[in-house]
Amino acid sequence: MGDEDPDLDRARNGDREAFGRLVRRHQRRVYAAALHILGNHSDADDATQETFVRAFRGLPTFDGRADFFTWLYRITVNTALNTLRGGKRGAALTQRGGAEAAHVGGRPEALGQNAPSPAHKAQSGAEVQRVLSAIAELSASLRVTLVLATIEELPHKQIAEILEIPEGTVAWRVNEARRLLRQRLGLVEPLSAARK
Amino acid sequence: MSDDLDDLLRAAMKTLDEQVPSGYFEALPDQTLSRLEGSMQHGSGTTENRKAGTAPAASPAASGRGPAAKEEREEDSGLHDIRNLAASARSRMSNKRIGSVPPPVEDDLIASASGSLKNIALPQPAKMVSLPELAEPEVSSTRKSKKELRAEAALEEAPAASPATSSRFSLPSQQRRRSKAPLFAVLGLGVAAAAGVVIYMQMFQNADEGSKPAAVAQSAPAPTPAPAVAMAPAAGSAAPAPTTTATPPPAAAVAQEGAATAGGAGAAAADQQIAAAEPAPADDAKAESKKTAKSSSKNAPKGKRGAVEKPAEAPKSEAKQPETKPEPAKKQTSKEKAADGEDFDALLKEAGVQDQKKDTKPKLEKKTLSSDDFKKVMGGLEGKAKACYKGTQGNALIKVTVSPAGQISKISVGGEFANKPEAGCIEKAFKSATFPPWDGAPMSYTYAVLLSD
Repeated sequence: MGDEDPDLDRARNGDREAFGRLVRRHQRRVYAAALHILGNHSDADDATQETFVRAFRGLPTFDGRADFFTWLYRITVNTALNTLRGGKRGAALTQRGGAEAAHVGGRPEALGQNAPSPAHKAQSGAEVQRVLSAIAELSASLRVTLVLATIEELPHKQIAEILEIPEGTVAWRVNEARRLLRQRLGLVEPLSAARK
Repeated sequence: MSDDLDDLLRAAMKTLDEQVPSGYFEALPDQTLSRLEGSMQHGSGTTENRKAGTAPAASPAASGRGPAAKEEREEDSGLHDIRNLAASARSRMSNKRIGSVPPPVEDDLIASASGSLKNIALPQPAKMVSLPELAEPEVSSTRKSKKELRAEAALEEAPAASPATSSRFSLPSQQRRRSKAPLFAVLGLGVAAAAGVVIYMQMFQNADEGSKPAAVAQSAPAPTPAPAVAMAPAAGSAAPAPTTTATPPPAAAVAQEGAATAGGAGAAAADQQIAAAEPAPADDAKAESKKTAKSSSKNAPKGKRGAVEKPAEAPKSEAKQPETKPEPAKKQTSKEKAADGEDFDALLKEAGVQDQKKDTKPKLEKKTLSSDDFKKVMGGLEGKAKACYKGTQGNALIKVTVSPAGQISKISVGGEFANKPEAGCIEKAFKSATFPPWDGAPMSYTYAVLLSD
């Protein structure tokens, strides 16, 4: 946080260049979070830009009590949740066929640019498609919590702070999302989870 | 098995990650900034404002202020009406725009409210001279209001006050539209009553000085406002025609004052005094200046009092009482002319109108800055101060003096970081803190911030 201060202060006073530097610094993580929650590039791109626009407007009220990235993350998650709950594209993953699975969320014009490697092809087969479809079927709150906990690997405490829910709720949501995913993917319930 | 699920999830997400177009992140900042520009221009910031918390903070304030503002506006609107009416009437009279087209909008209001006000607040003969000229001869008898009827009845009872006199001192618009705005008439009467009480008090003081007989006696020739005439039949009975210079018997004046004092009816007394304050509508400017001179030679030098008392004493000069002092009279005249613009303000002030306005000023509820409020604000900036950590761990004791306006007037850093580079940084971090204002003396607090890795 300390290293962000100069740009943050300037951006707070309306300095667009400083804000641009903040965007560059955080864009990958913000975009990744949005992409993992929304499941496609188009929505993630939109959510990322919207997140930064909101952040810029909200900067004067950012009191510095929370870490800047946590604050940014919260905006990202809220923006993504708005998109998901808007219902327009939330079910995108479930509607796609196997041929699209390898390019879920990719822009049509970009599909040929990043040709998947053989290893990737192996990974992004039917199994990947099934997983993505199963995630898309989760409710928005479960999906977000699962993504933050499993993919973004954030500690439960930070997730609780971002989602503004108790840590216990975070744990329950993660377990519930896992349980549902396993159920849908036909995976066996692990003993460790059962013991919990 | 949990690991298997995690692996599957990560693999799926990795697939997604690889779909990012090349050069996307290079272009993203520019795209974001251009979108920001666009959104700023179009002002599509509903969700943003909600998030930032500015709108919720502003809206309760606005809603909370709403009713108060409405009340204030309602109260003010009445006051402004009176002021505006008075101002417009005064300008019309001073400009002597006789025969010109009157302002279309304010006629109503002038007729209803400021008619009586003018009678109170324009006691100077110079101003009243124009009033008869403003009067229009064609008064529709079919549209007589209750007040007019009452005035007529009163005039019948008081034969000395001729109907012509009373009609001369009413504005044409007043005659035409009085019946349309009874509300303003009531308002005007209310203010007139209040001003009358003030005038009465002054008159009472004058009476102690022995100047009352002539003052009150001369009041009779000016029965301008019909209600005043109606309520003061004694004055009317003692009243000669407006152009007469004969001094009425002092006994009548004393009786009148006694009636006003003993009557207990403040409004009636006020109206009596209002009528008393009315000068005779003398067309002669010379006579007017004489009156002014003699009244000024006798009484209070201040513009406010002079304006009120002057007409009351004017009859003395007409009664040929040899107390003329020309030089101070001139001074007084110029003073009064300078005070012309303040007549209404002074009278309104005397009537307590301005005090009411002052009372509407919001007062701060808080008398002190509570430690909770202080901690809350300081806590908000603590993160900023913690960024001042430069390798030395320790507690910074920040002594802060906050002005009642909520701004930090003095800040100093003590403890382990006194006179160290961190101190300046910490001071800077807190310097911009804004606390809720309070009504009281500046307050000092000490706040500790732990600087650590």
